[in-house]
Amino acid sequence: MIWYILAGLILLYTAWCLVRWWKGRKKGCHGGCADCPKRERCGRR
Amino acid sequence: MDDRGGRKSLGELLPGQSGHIYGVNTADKRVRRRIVDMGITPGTEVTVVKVAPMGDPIEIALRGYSLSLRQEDALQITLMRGGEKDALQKQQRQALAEYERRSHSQLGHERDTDAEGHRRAALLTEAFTSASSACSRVDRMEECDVCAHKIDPGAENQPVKLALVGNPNCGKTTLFNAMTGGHEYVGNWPGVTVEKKEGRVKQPNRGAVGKNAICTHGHDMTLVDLPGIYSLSPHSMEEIIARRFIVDEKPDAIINIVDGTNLERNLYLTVQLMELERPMIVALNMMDEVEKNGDCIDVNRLSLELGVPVIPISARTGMGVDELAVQAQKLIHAIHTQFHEGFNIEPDDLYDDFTHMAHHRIGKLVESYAKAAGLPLHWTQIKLLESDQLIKESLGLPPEVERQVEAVVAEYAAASPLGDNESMVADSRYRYVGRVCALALKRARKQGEASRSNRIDTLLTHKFLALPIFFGIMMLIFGLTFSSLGAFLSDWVSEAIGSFIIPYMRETMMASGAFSWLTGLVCDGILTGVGGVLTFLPQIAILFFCLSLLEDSGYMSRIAFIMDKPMRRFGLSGKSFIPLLMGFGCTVPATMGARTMDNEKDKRMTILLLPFMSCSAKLPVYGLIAGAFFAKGRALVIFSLYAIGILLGILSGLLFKKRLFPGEDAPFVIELPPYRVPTARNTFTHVWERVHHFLQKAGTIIFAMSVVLWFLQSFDPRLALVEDASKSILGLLGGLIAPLFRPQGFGSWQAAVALLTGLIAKEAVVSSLAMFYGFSLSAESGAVATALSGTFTPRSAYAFLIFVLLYVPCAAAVSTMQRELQSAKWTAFAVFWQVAVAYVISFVAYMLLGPFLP
Repeated sequence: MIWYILAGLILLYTAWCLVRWWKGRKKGCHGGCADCPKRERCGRR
Repeated sequence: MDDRGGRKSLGELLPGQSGHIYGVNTADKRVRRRIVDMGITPGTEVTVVKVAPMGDPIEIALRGYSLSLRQEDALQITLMRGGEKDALQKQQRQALAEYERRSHSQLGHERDTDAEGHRRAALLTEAFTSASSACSRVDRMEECDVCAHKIDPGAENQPVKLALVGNPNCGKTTLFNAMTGGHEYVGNWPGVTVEKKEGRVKQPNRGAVGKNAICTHGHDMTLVDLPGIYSLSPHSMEEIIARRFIVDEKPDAIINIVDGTNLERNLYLTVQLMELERPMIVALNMMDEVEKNGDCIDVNRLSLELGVPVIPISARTGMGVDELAVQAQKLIHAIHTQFHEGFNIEPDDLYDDFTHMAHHRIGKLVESYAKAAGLPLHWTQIKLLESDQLIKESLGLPPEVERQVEAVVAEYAAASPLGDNESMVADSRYRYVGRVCALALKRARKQGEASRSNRIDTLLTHKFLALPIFFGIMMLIFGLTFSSLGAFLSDWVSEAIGSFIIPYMRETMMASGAFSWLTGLVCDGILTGVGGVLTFLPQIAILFFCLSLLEDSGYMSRIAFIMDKPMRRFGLSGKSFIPLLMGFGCTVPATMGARTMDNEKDKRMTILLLPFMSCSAKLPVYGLIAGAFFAKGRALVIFSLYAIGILLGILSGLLFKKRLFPGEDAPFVIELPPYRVPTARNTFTHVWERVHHFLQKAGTIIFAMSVVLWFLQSFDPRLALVEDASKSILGLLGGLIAPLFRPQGFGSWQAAVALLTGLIAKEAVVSSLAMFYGFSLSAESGAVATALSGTFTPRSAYAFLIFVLLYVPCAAAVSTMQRELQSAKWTAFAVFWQVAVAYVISFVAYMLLGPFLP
């Protein structure tokens, strides 16, 4: 059972990462927020 | 020479020679305005400090700071003859004496004609600079719970917004970080901040006040860090952003940060901010350096002369920062309690009588329009006198009124030998600033005398040594990053991941009865993919540590100074060199940094050439392939890639200059900041931010890519597990595009797919290759070469590296280019150009290397 849960978590996390990248891509997000001047509008501080 | 009336020009002076400015004759109005805004106004004493190693530009000293400008612009700046200089100095002495006579009643002098204005300014200043620790002058005071300051309970919890405004490189972001606890990027070169940033000043706990924490006395206090500006003229994006914010969003107060080591030039902006009729406080920064230089600033006198509170601080050390917050709150309390109705802190002596008269004439014409548009009247009048187009548009004046305003402006401009209304207003401001500085500033050193920075510059910008030193520094950085320390640390990390973490995880999962496909996903997919990228973390940290030292020390601006002439050959200015150098870190912030360019042509050129500067995300790819196939000459191979990128950037620049952007060169007016010892905190912050960014990327998008690629590589289109990866979904897809790369020698589906994943993030190329070829991260370079040998030979590996170097940057960088270029056409062109150049050059390299490499 534990292995199914692990596989599910990996799947969910992967989907979340891809959605996050896809949304960020439109904003010119390059993955990190350190030097992003748009961060105050992004809500991902 | 005739139109100069036999006068010498600034460009004719030799290093060490001085002169006094007569006028600026540059035909381009924008260039002239920029030069005048930097303090080159009639009567100013300038000294030529040095000429750049290649003969252009020159460095001049004026008003206590150093400025670099091109010979051709310097030749348009005429100098006074001996007699003219004496007459002007006499006139200035008389003006100063007159000013002293009419000075504030506070100082025991006679009252000015506008006594009420002075009385209000003096009262306000006295209220804020008095020794009282109370936050405002109201009766109902309570103690702040946290710091025990007396505060006005009625003003508590009112949210306040403070704008940080100042010249470029005066320490705004350092102060912003000190007050908000933020980690915004700071560098010792003008133009670090290109867009406003907001941060909240957090209310500390009781015990933390005074220990790098500022008490807000219950206020919800927001700081807005605006880009550095020299004036409020609408000639650059930063100036427009800053003034729009102040005028439209009306912050509760302005904190004007003034570099104490460069008082005159900084106060030029201060006097313009005063006209915006917002409550203001001056943070006199870098006071530790002022003391070190032996200079003396009479802070109280400065405050009285300006009519605004002046707080000495050092944002770097934190000295005076908490006092600044207290004073800012006093100022806001004063507004809240209606201490000062009709707030206007414009000193009455700011402009000469003639300018004063002209702007009041304009005021009568436009008063109702300015009120309707919500613009400060005094500022509107002055901006119209300066022919500010944006203000004209905001006012929407009827043609008749506009014609009358233009008549006043024309009359004003014609009344001076300068014949230029913008220069006349700027000159008037500088004369006021000069009088204030004469009263409040005592310099230990005369202009042109060698400072510590000058002594360092004699070596670093030496005619013959400058370029060898620059290339030596670059070689040292490369050697440290890719060869010695960087390679040692990377090997250590890959050993840890490949020999310990992955085998341990595989054994544990198998022993616990995990499905074999899940073990494969975790070990061969995620850990191999993410680990492959993490291996290069030490090299990235070292590279950014070195770049941070270059930036913080002030050497970056010297590089722009040294490189201006060669950059002009292919249509750019020395200023472009800074974003291009930043491009070696990451293309995204570098593309944004191109906003500091003075014109659209330079900005476009810089953005189009930026992808040729190899970003740090490509580093893991170089490290892997060069380590595998060129173990002995790894650093040299990587250096050659960087050199090819730069060379192709130069050639593209030459082509673009000739075909796409013909015409005049943009002006080059850049401030040369003094050398400073980089602080450990800033260097650490800079490196940490990059490392954090890298780790974040590895933990998110690289993770996701590894999972997706593992899935596509392990299953066929019918979703059945496959043993032979070439029959997988990925193998079939890659097989379709692989033939395209046969001419370059790497026409396998693995290489084609790895290149496609690189469009998402360049590091993904490494994780893809590691997964596809199944090599261990801790494997010796020979073992990696053996694993890759099915596709690559040393020759095709080098061609592959060239393709990775030159092809399209990641999706985020392309998106940023689109935003900054504001043109789908130009963005499409940039992408096409990169792909075409990558394809052709990698093919040429593959062909040329035929006789030398297998």
